[in-house]
Amino acid sequence: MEGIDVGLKAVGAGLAMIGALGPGIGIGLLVNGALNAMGRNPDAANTVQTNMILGIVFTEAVAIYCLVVALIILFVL
Amino acid sequence: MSVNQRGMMIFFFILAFAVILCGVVPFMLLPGAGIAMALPVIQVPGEVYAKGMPSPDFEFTNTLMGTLIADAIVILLALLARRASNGWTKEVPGRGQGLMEGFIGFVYGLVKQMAGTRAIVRNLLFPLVASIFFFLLIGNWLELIPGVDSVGIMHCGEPDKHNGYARSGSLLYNDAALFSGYAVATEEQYLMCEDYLLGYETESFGVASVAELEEEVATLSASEAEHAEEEDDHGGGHHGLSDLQKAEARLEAAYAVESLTVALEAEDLTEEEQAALETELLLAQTQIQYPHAIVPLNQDQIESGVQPYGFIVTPYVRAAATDLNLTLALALISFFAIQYFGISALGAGYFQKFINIGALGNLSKRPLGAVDFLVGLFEIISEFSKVISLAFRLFGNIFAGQLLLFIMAFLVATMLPVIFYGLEFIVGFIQALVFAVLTLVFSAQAMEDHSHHDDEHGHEH
Repeated sequence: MEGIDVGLKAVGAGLAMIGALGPGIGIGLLVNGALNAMGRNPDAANTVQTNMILGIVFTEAVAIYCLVVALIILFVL
Repeated sequence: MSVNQRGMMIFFFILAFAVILCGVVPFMLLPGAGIAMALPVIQVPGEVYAKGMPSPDFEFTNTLMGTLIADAIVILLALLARRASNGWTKEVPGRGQGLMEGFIGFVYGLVKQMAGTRAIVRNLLFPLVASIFFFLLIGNWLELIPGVDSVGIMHCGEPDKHNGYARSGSLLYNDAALFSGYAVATEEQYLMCEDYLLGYETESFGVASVAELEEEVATLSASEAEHAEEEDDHGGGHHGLSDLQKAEARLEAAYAVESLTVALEAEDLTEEEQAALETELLLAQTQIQYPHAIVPLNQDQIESGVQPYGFIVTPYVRAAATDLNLTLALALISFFAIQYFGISALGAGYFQKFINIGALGNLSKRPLGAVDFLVGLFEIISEFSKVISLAFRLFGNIFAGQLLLFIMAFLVATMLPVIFYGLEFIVGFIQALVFAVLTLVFSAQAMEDHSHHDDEHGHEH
């Protein structure tokens, strides 16, 4: 694997992963809200936790989309 | 012995074990393996290593093997649970049954919490969710077992496609750390590699001078010309390079050695030029002994049996969820299951979720109900995005985890990969749980009755 196209592929993959910034912040905000709720109302901790996991799964999916694009750039193109 | 002393002793045993396994075994007991690990081939689709059975177009990939092994383990666990509970008739559960009941109870608790305890939930939804969970759990944890993703079949890298390594015996030979292999560039190099792989050639051709090689080429081309009419396909398909072509390659390499030796004697060479010419000279000298060689080897390495062609190792087993086919198939199964549960709970009224005829009919009383109709159309798009997101979430997590384990083991063979093993353990469990729980949640939402919500709105207003 030599040449400038390998270097450009690497740059492309690196740029694609910048998109993982958003879900990182999003998950942080989610857990922040969940922890606040659990602190105010410890009896509802289970419900809050279940919904938190659900929310985290959806936001993490966006980060996974970025990763998949980066992998496609590196290994398929 | 106090607790601290015992802990200390166990820690030293673990340390000694790790040092022996990572230091003594690779460097002293397996000397032909070089001083660095060779990276197995990374490829996004599953790698094929057997073809032709049961039908000529069928390709058996290593992820299919991983799927079959995960299937076998799950079925084995179920049969063991049945035996441990004497066919589910034991009065007081033993340890094995208690363990299985713990796992099943966990999943059943989730199902009961999300979807209630109706007959359809107990008989269809719970088995589906539990099957997905256990199959994915075992399938994801399979990639942590030593041997999976590392032990494999050795073959030649295809031209222009894979990075290959030299081999010594049945191990890949790599003596430069962090080196990701030589590209198999041309058709001739691939054919030579195949010759050595399949055993048509076994040894190096030996050192020879320019004169000897010219003689050999002359005799071989003469005999080729004589046998030109009789020459036929050697009954059955060994389409390698002919002896004449190999001798010609060696002759060209001998010429290259001569010209490079002359070039190296020039006076005004920079350090870089000198090093580059020396590598080319070494490669040309290797190409005399092994025609169309790729890896430059010195004489000691050639004598110890290293073969300088582009060999790669394809693992026998790869974790099931690293193949997009499997995750997409499971996501489609979930999709159809969700629709089935919705239709069986709500009948034809299930499609009101998508094409909200009720809102259209109510336009005279609630003109803003047109928005509900548009929301219904968006629900169709979100159904398809659920399939894509389920498939890619699982695939991305497990494939990236497997890639991380590969690269960590390649970079630092000793203690660091253990941390990533812990991460992969957790991620495998969470992703299996998430897939199953999302299927459960979407099915439960599909089974909910939407018309009650509208009535409530009506009463409140």
